[in-house]
Amino acid sequence: MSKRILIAEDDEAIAALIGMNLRAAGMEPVIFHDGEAAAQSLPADHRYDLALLDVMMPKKDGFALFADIRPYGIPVIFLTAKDDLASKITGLQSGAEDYIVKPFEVLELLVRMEKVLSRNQQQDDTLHVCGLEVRLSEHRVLRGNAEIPLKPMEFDLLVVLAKHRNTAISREDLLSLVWGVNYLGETRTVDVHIGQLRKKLGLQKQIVTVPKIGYRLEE
Amino acid sequence: MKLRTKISMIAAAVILAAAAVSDGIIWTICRRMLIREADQNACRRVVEISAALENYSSSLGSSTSDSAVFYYLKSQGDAYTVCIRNGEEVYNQTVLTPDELMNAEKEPYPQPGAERFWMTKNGVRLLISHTRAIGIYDVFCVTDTGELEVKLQKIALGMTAVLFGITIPAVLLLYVLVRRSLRPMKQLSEQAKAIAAGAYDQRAATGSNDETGQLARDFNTMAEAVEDKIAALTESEQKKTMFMADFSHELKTPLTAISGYAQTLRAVKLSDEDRDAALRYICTESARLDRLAKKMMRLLELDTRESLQFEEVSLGALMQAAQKTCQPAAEQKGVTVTAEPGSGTVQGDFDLLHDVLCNLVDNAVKASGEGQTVRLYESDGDLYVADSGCGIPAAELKNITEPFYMVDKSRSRRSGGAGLGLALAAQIVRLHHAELRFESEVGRGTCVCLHFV
Repeated sequence: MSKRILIAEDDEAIAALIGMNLRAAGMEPVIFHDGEAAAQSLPADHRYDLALLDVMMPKKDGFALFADIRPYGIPVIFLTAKDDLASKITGLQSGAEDYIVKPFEVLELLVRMEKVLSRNQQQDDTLHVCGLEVRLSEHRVLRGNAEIPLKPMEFDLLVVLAKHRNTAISREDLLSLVWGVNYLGETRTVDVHIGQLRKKLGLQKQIVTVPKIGYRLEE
Repeated sequence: MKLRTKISMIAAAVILAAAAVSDGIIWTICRRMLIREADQNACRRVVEISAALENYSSSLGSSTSDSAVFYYLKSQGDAYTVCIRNGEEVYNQTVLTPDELMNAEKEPYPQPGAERFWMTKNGVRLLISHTRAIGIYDVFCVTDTGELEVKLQKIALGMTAVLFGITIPAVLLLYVLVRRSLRPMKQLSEQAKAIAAGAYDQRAATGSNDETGQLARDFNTMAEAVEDKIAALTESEQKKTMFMADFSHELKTPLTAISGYAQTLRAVKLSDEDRDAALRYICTESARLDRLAKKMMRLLELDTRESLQFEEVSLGALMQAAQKTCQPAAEQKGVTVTAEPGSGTVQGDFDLLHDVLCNLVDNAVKASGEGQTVRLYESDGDLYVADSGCGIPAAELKNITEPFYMVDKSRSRRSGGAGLGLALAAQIVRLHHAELRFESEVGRGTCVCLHFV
C-alpha cells in the first residue's frame, strides 16, 4: 500500500514539485495551499503516514498547524525558508521529526522522509518491484517462488534503488546510502554491484544508466 | 581636584589678596597721618618753646645769659629739647652732639623760621625740629618716633587678625554654598553615566531656575533627542533585518522550485504531463525571479535618487493613461475601470506617477470581483482610486507599503506579485513630496488618495 503524505505549502510551484517527486517514488501526496484548509480537512481524513509543513503560510502557519496534527499522531517534517537557529529549535522542540531548509535537494527530502517513516511505523516488510518480492527483514529476494541469492551489498543496493524507484541516484549518493558515509571506496564499486544486480535479477532494462548522473530503477 | 575645592581655593586667594591690598593701603594712610601729626606736634613744640624763651628773656629785661636759658629750660623739665649757641651747647639732656644737630640737612616747615630733619641714632629714628630764639640760640626739639612704630605695628597686627578672622569663615561658607549649588551637577553626571550605559529613558531633575536647572533642562532635551534617535535607528535596523529576511525568503522560494524541477527533470522518470508541468513551473518561477530583481533594482535606484526632474503633469492625462494600461487585465477579470478627468495639474515625473497610479489601479482590480467598477477621479488637486472590492483589514493598513508585505500572500503570489509594488509606489510618492492615504473597510472596498502638497 502506498504512503499517504500531507503537504501544506503555500507556494504552488513547490507544492507541485514535491507532489511530482512523491508520486514518482510511489507515494500518494495530498496538497493544501494554506494551514487553515489543511487543519479543516483533518477531522474527516487523517490517514496520513507523514506531513510536510511549510512554516510561513497564510491564515495558519506551520507551527500552529502542527498543534492540530499532533493529536492524530502523524509524524511531521517542517519545510521552510526560515533558516535561523531559533526557528529550527522551535520546530524541533515542538516535537517535529525533522526540519528541512529551503532550498533543498529533492533526494535529501526523500531520504529524510524515508528515515522518518521507518522510525515511526512498521515499514512494509516486503517491497514489490519489477516482479520481484524483496523481504527486508529476511534479506531475501524472490521472483515468483524462486529465491535469487544476493550478496549483502547487492541486496542493500537493490533496496535503495527500489525505495527510490523512478528516481536517478548518483554513484556518490549510492555509495553513501549503501556503503555508508565513511566508506572510502571508488564509484567503480557501485558500477560492479549494479552489473551483478542486472545479471542476477535480469533487470538489464529496468536498471537504467542515466548519463552524467547515475542509476535509476524504472518500473 | 574637585570643582568645589577649586572654586573655594580661588575665592580664598582672591579675598585674601584683595583684603591684603586694602589693608596695606589703609595701613599706609594711617602711618602717613600719624607721622604728619607727629611732625606738626614737633613744629608746634619748637615754636612754643622758642616763644616761651623769648617771653622769658623779655621779662628779664636785660640781655639774657646762657645760664638763664639753661635754668629756664631745666625748670620746664624738658628732656627732649636742646639749646645751642654758636656751636656750644647751652642745654642738652640728649645723647646728640651739637655738631650732629647743626650740620644736618634740614627742610623748612611752612611756619617761617622753623625747620626739621630726620636722623637715626642708636637704631632709633628721631624727628628733630629746629628754630632760632632770641636771635642767637638754636633750639632743637627731639621727637622719638619709636612709639609711633609700635603703634603702627599694633595696627598692622590687628588688621591681619581681622583679615584672617573674616576670610576663613567666609571661605568655609563659600565652600558649603558651592557644594550645595554643584550638587545637581553630580546628579547630572550620574544621569549621563546611566544614559551612556544604555538607560536612554533616564531624565535629570530640573529643580532650580538657575543655570544648573537650565543645564538639567538642556540635558533632558539632549537625552530626549538621543532617545528618539536611538529608537529611530533601532527601528530602521529592525526594518532592514526584516527586509533582508523577507528578501531572502522571496528569493529562496522560486530558487527552490527552479532547482527542484531541474533536478527532478534530470533524475526522475516523469510522465509527459509532469515533464510539461515542470518546465512550465521553471519558466514562471524564473519570470518571478526576474520581476523581483527588476523591482529591487528599481527600488534601489529610487532610493539613491536625490531629486527628480519635475514638469507639469495633468492629472486627467495621468488617469487616462493608467486606465488604458490597466484595461486589458481588468477586462480579463470582468472589472470596469472608469476615469473622470478633471483639470488639475501637479509638478512631477509623468512616467513615475503613471507607475504609481497603475500599481494602485492594479491592486484595486485584483481586490475587485467580477462586475465591479474601479473609479479614478480627482478632487481638490488630489487623485483618488476607489474600488468596492474585498478591502484591507485595519491592522494591516499601516504595513502595506512595507517591502514584501502582502495582505493575502497566496493570492498575491499566484498573481505574480513580489510584495514590492506599493513599496515602490510609496517611494515614488515620497520623492514627489506627496502622500498616499488609504481608507478601507473589509468587504466594502478601499479608497486610496494620492495627496499632493
